[in-house]
Amino acid sequence: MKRTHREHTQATYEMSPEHILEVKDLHVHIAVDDYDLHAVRGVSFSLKKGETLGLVGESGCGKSVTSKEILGINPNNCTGSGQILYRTKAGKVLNLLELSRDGETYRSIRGSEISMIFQEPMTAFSPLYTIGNQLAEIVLLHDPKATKASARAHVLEMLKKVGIANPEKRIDQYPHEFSGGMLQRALIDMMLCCNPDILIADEPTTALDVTIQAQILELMRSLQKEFGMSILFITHDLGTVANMCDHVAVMYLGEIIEFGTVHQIFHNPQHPYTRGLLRSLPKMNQSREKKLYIIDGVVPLPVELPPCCGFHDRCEACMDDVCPKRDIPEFTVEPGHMVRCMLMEQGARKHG
Amino acid sequence: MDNVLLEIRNLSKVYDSKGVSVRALSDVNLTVMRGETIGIVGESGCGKTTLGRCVVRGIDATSGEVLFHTEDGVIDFLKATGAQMKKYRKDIQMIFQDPYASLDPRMTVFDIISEPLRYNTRMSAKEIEQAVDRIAEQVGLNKAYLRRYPHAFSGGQRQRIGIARSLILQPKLIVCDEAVSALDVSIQAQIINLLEDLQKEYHLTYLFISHALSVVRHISDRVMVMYLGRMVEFGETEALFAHPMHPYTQALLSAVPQPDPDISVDRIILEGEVPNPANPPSGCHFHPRCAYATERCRTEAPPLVNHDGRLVACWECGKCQGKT
Amino acid sequence: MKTKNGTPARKVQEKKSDKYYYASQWRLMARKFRRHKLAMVSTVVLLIFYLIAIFGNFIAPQGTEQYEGRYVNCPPTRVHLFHEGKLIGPFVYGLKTERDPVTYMAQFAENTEKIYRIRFFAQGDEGGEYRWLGLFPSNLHLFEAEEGGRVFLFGTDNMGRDLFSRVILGAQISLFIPVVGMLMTLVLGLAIGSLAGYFGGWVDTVIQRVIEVVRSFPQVPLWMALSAAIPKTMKPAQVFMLMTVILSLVSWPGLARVVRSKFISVKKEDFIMAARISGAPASKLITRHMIPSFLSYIIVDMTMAIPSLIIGETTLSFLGLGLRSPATSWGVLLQETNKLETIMFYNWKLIPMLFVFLSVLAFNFMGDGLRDAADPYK
Repeated sequence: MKRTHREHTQATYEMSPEHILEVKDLHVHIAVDDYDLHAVRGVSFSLKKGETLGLVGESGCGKSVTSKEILGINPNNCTGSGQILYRTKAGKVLNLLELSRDGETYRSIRGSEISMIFQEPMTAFSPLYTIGNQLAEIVLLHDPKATKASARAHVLEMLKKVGIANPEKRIDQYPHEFSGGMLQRALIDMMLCCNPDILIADEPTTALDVTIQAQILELMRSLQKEFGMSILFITHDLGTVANMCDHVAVMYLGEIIEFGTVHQIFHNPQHPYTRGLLRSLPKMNQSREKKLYIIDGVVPLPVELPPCCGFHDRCEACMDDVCPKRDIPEFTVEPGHMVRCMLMEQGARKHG
Repeated sequence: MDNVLLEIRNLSKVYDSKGVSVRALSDVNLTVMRGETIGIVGESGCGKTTLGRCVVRGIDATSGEVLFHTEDGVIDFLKATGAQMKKYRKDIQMIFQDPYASLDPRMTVFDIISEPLRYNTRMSAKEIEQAVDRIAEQVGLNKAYLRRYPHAFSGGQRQRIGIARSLILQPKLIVCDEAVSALDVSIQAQIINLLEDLQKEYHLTYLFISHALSVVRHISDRVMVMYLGRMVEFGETEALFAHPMHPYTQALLSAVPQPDPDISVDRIILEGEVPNPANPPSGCHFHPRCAYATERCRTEAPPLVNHDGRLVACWECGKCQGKT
Repeated sequence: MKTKNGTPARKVQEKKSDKYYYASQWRLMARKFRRHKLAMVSTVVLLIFYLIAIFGNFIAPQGTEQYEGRYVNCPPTRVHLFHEGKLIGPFVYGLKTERDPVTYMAQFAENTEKIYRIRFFAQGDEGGEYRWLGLFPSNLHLFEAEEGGRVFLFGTDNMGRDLFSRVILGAQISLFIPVVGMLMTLVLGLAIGSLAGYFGGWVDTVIQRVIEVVRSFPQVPLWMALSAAIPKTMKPAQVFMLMTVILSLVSWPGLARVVRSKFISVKKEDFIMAARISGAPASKLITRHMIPSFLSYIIVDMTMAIPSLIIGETTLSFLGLGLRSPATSWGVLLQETNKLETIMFYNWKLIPMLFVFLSVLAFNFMGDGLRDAADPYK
């Protein structure tokens, strides 16, 4: 990642007092073999203290790239621009994009102030050390006052809290002796050791079984209540979003195409993509005889995209003289509910 | 010919490695009717994938029978002779979960789809070409792209290629092993509808293996729930989803997050993890996580009991009725 | 299923990647390989080496059996263009022998009164006859000094043989023994490894044990023991064959092991299962799906193994267990450097070492590039 190294001369930024994170007009380009992927195309959103924001979309929509950009952990072939404003625990507002990725400031934020859990918990642990060892390491790293003994006690207590049975024995076991669900719990635990302000959860339950997923979601909810952290929840699973999030941002081809409260998105979706997505899901409470709704076609690659609605060539309501030809502005449906679709302009709802 | 297509009888599979034997599948019985879709659900380690692979003879079952009803009478597919295999192999095909791993990246799409024809028929090159073109159109693949390699295609399109390959021999039964699980939501709907259309057109029978309960509910006529290698519940889809009888089925169904913030199910959160299949609990495998477990559950494995057409393996079946 | 595919962005994409979509595994690998600069340079270097070796008899001014007692241990001849400020094209001066006034050692010096032009595409002396690619008799050489003159680009050895010629003719042995040996290793390793990997069970166990036994012998002594058994009276061509056999007998277990483990891992792949379910017989499974799926890795392994075979051949010949004069290889040439005085007084005799070094390095870099390209689907 090419970032400017201006750590000492950083400009001062203003941020709404109730927000803890503001992403403004974020663009991320990925240099692939012989072309340039415009993976994130002008994403803006903000995260309030203690709330859960869902970033939803299908693979390739840029949701993961966005979240990794916040932590500055995208691979080196990615270039980000825009602003990512973050209020540190000390109350200072920083533009994370201006920090040096390996600099002291970023390292102190990563992990202790903004944490992340991943889809594959196995990859987050080293197979060579015991779980207890690795968790204690984190505690020691982020708490200068901790001793080896106190760190171990802390880890034991945490393992108990996240519901791992027999923690005295478990603490000395190796990652391969844990199941995916247990590892994910241990990982969440590891992240919470430092009491972060923001937890970024990138598909944390996708690789897990449903009953284990229910356990993990329950755990995240109760821990959020206890510690008051904000969660950025990244997933493609609309069911999980409906159950976990306060606000939802629907992404398509690197843009947020609809944003609102969870009720606005699920009960009054406006963008044809959001509507299509919701209608295409088989539901537990609908008649089985009905055919599933289909969104035709596939997600295109974001290469050399002209200004246009990214969804236009799969959209039933596409207006050929407008949608493929211009940038689509945001329209407000009602307070807090934003849609990026030209249908809103005319108030015409030809579809649905 | 009767209406039964396939009977699975006491099918078991034991994996032996380094002195540890894992019973992945124990004594599963199932009768499959022509043209129906049977959903097989369960969590990882429940044996659903092993079941599917044993049925297609992708792996060898340890014991049991897979009776296949053909024009020549009933044959045991697992013990079929060379000649019988030659004739009936093509009737039972499979669609895989991972659209990336299941296509040989070194072959063109045309070669992948036509490969089964080369082994099982004596078609001329021209006939093969026509057959592939026809099937490609049917599954929604652009004919112009058939000479490309799989890496040119997205996950959904690759799954269509896999479906075309499994269909080209005009099989009677297709085992769909998590066939839509790796796909994005909008693509998943495309493939589900395609599978339904193909079923109508060719009068196909599906064994639809999946952990995605809402998908299974949508596509299946009857559903079988598995836990640690055993069948715990089996019945008509609507009824089973509306009134699950086994405590495990109840927990499983309640755990599925609904895409609607207003639906708040009384979620049954199961304690603990699925036990290690190498060392399963005694008696009913589910008892350590079950709220209704009694002494009997700990010692004796419950048999499958028929409750008005529903098969349930639970000693306490009466107790937990009507709780969801 | 119809999609509207008319957007400009789509069209650009389609066009750009069309070639990529139709590219087979080998084309994709070539694409990736070309990006590895060092590997590309190494490949070019190796190509040049092999071309020189193939046309060695033409490029080398002397044949293997030619020697001149007058010019023993002569240092490299300097090629001049100007004589007393006048351009007369490439030429060499005559050589005269002098005695060092202190050590009384014979020394060669340029006799600037005698000028011998270098003629290109000239007929060689008696003894320089050869056959083009082993077929058409000829005595045409790339360059040759005029009658009476001598060009020794790399000097001469202690029998008065032109070292430049011998390095080139030695390349024919030193560069081809490893390749032929590798091919034999490939056949052995692939066959035995496939047996073990595909069938498993007791076949696998037996083969595994044999591999362990063969591999537990230290390589160099094993080579030495086997080579020492080659009768000294054998013709160079027979020695050549025997040496490749020896080298491959020692190196097949490594490859067989790799093949076996690849077989075992590829057996679990979904596309193999898919082929089996569609009725593919075992022979087709192996030849159409399994071997192609890891062939590229095997090629990488082989390329990486060639350097050790080059060194192996050099070592054996250096120790006098391989080829013997007048047949030549880089190892044979280096035999003369086993005395300290050689390095002190006749340091040009180390030149063959440079070629061993360069070719080993080039094979390693090329293997590196191949390894990066071996799985183009990642």
